[in-house]
Amino acid sequence: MYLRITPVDSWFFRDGRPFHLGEATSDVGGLFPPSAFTVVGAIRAHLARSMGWREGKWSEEICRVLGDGYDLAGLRFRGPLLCREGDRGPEMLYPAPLNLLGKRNDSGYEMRLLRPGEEVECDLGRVRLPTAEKIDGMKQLSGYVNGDQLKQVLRGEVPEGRVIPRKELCGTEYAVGLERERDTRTAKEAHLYSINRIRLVRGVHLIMGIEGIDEGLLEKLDGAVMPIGGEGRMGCVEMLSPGKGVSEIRQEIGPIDGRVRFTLVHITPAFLGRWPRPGESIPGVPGEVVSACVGRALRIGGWDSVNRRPVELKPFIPPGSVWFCEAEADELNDVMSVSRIGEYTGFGFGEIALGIW
Amino acid sequence: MSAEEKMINFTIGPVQGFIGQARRTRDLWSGSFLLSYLSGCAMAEIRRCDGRIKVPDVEGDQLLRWIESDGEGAPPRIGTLPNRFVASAEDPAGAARSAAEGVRSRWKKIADSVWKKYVEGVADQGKNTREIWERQVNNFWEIHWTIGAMEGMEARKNWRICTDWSDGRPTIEEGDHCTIMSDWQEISGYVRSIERKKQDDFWKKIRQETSGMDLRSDERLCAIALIKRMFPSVAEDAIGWEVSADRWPSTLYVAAIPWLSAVIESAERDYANDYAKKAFSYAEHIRREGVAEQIFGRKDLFLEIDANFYHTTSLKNPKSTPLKMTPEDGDEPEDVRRRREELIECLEELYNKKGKPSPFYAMLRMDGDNMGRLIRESGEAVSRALASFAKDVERVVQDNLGVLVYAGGDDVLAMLPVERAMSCAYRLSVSFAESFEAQGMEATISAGLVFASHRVPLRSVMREAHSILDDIAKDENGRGSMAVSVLKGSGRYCRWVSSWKGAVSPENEVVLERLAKNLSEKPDGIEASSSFFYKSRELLLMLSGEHRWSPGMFFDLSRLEGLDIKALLQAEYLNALEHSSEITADVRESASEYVRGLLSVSCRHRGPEHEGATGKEICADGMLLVKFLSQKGVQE
Repeated sequence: MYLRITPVDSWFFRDGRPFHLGEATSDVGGLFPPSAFTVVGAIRAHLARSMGWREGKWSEEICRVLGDGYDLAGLRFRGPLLCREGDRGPEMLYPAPLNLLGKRNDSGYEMRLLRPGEEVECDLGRVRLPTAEKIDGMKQLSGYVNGDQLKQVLRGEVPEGRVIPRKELCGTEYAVGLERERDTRTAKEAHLYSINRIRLVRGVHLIMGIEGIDEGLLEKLDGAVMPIGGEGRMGCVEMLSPGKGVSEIRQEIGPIDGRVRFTLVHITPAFLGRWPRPGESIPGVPGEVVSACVGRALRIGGWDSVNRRPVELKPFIPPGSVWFCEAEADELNDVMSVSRIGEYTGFGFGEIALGIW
Repeated sequence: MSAEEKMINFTIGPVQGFIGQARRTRDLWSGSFLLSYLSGCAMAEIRRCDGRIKVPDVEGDQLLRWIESDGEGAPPRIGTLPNRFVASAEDPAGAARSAAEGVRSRWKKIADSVWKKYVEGVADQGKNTREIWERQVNNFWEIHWTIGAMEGMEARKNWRICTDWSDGRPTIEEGDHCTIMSDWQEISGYVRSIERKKQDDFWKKIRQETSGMDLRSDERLCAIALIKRMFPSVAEDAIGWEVSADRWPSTLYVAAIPWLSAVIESAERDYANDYAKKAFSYAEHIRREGVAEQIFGRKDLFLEIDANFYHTTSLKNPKSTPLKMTPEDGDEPEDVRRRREELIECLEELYNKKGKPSPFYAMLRMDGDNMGRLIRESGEAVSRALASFAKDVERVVQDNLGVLVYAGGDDVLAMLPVERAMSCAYRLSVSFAESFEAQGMEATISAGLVFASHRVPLRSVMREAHSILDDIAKDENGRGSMAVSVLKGSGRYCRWVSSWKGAVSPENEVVLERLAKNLSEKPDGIEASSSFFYKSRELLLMLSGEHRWSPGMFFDLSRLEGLDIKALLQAEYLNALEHSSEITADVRESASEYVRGLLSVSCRHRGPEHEGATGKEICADGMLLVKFLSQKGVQE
């Protein structure tokens, strides 16, 4: 089942910047889409409230149904992903794969797809780095592609149309908050803060998949208005009718000359204990890494409200990153069964799409 | 082995992650200098392995000479070597490995010096401080190199993985995070929400080790930010020569430069110096020696006070301008308050005669366009062109009363007063083009210029400068463009972009600055203009059919055929003037001229590769920028 979450107003998702009462803090936040921990936390808190929780630790009964902390009991989540209402109904959006390069021209963007090139001697050893011809002046396209475009990339084709820039989906709003001195009516010293809020363009929503939830409890989510992210800002939740939501995006892969060459494209951020180097394997994935387009780590932390301390800031592989891998032909079925990699996959992290190169 | 097979492409990063995350101008300078220094160490190592630096041209570079212990005269003041270079060597991989090792060992030496002087004695009061320190120092830099054609380095940049990572991935950072570089843990190791006192005690001790105002009471830093902050005071031990970080003016000082210049050149000079004497006797640690000499080439007392003492708003706040006997918390004693009032009165008297200083300054970032292609095609001729440009940069910035933070390769970073910043950027773009023309090549440079209130965090200003240069100027508008943004305390006020060609008149004047000057010379005009500028923006928004204006938005008016936009705006302008002036034929004529100018800066002027591709696109922000510049940023 999929949930559509729409902001009531703007949202605030903080980054790792310290934010303490009594200290001037500036320019915090702006992380979007929010991490799965944030969205799952908001959903579980809402469900816990519907089961009678108000504050403090959850009861045993609530923990049995919703889990606690990293334990999700029987719940499983997917996402969050972005969705935009289009002429043909809701359109799911995916982070543009990082092997897609582009350059602006008069009619939009000229694009190319990177794939492993000839071996180059570098600080990683002799490695097939990702490259392509005629990419002069091109750069990685930060933005989003729709399902059809993602399928084309997974087939090893340059997608038709254009990459949707982030600014067409959401904007950042700078906001200043303060506490006022009662006597002077001026800003109280060290109680001034500034944050970056996110405002979604009309028709853009977050989509989160949820499984393993009791039917009766699920109904509590439909039509709910719940706080999500910082500042107690709200989101409206609606259940999408069956069949709507994230369709499976898969590319058929076949062996060539006894080898299977495939790509893994990250749809959501992934946490790996070790980032594979050339010739190494990705945990749970057959074969070895030949090359990759991997972005700078996305650091995701949070706030542990029960223990009143920050959650450790962990480096996640950013969505859009692409691994070019190779496996033996007889490992094909194992390759085809890969859909999530790394840790915290129950929250929605580590979702990947399979393609060819 | 062919010549190409012997080529080394070398980079050190992260640039933005190291330089841009700064709280003070001193951090900004320190970050850019250290990165440049480390790059120089890599170059020196390659030269030691009988290699040769091909791009940039380093012959005669003062910083490299000092690194190679061959320096003469005054030590280098700013970083002049880029974080990326091309070299050649007989054993290129061996030389590149030595260079990477050279960077690591020099960085370690600097880190060790800061550790020994400021942290070692306090470390046992922290929670795993040594472990946090080593984790951060050892895992920070991204040193990449490839052998062969330059395309290899472009390909390498797509795979953000480092051989230096101790755990095979970027570090996990627990606990509270650094107040400057938020991805990293602060080194006390305590969590403020539950161990506040221990954390405060740790940082109080570190502050005691540092002198004066090196660390503020609300600053809790990671190893990297602390190294940047304290590097100047360990430089002699760590790199072999002293650096003078105290000579770096604050953003507030840079904002005040035109006002300071006007005061000190006027009959009020003695009065101003008397005020300074009074301030020095009432407050401690407020003398900023060396700053004035660097900017004005003179040493008046008035030019050497902490810039907060130029603003009555800061003087009214004891936290910004503590005097002798000002308590850390609570009200000031009566005699201290009287002294404060005396200073405020003196300053207001000066304001009455010479006006107020601006709270806005400009941060300028410039970067050559398509440099990768040019270097591939023309190699060492590009080096010569860049070397010639580099020689010109400091002079142009100084001529415009600015402060150069960094100039290496095709990159420039400078702080300037608001009034001269756009002209300075334009002059630098001309110098860049001429340097390449002299080598028989065509090349352009683009600029990101941010006019910021001193209240806006430096980190936000740097991020904005970076983003408007890359995304708005180069990517959206096309190479050879300048993007300008105004950041006020309440957020982004406007954002404007144009090609250089569209920004200047046939007489090579920056049109926006001329329009602003005209407006500021007519006080009635400014009055009228406020309503005119905002009404015009609303009018354009309505005509475009858009619902909401946001800074930098271009209105597409191509569907409104036959619309005489100039006549419309001129009517609005005259309407606004009606309240203060009689509308004579002369007024009509000058209004027509003025609106023509405003329209010319409001229309889309794309860079050369996109010329002719635009429709009837108009950006109201050009007008808002004229309004901002005409007020010289005095009103926040």
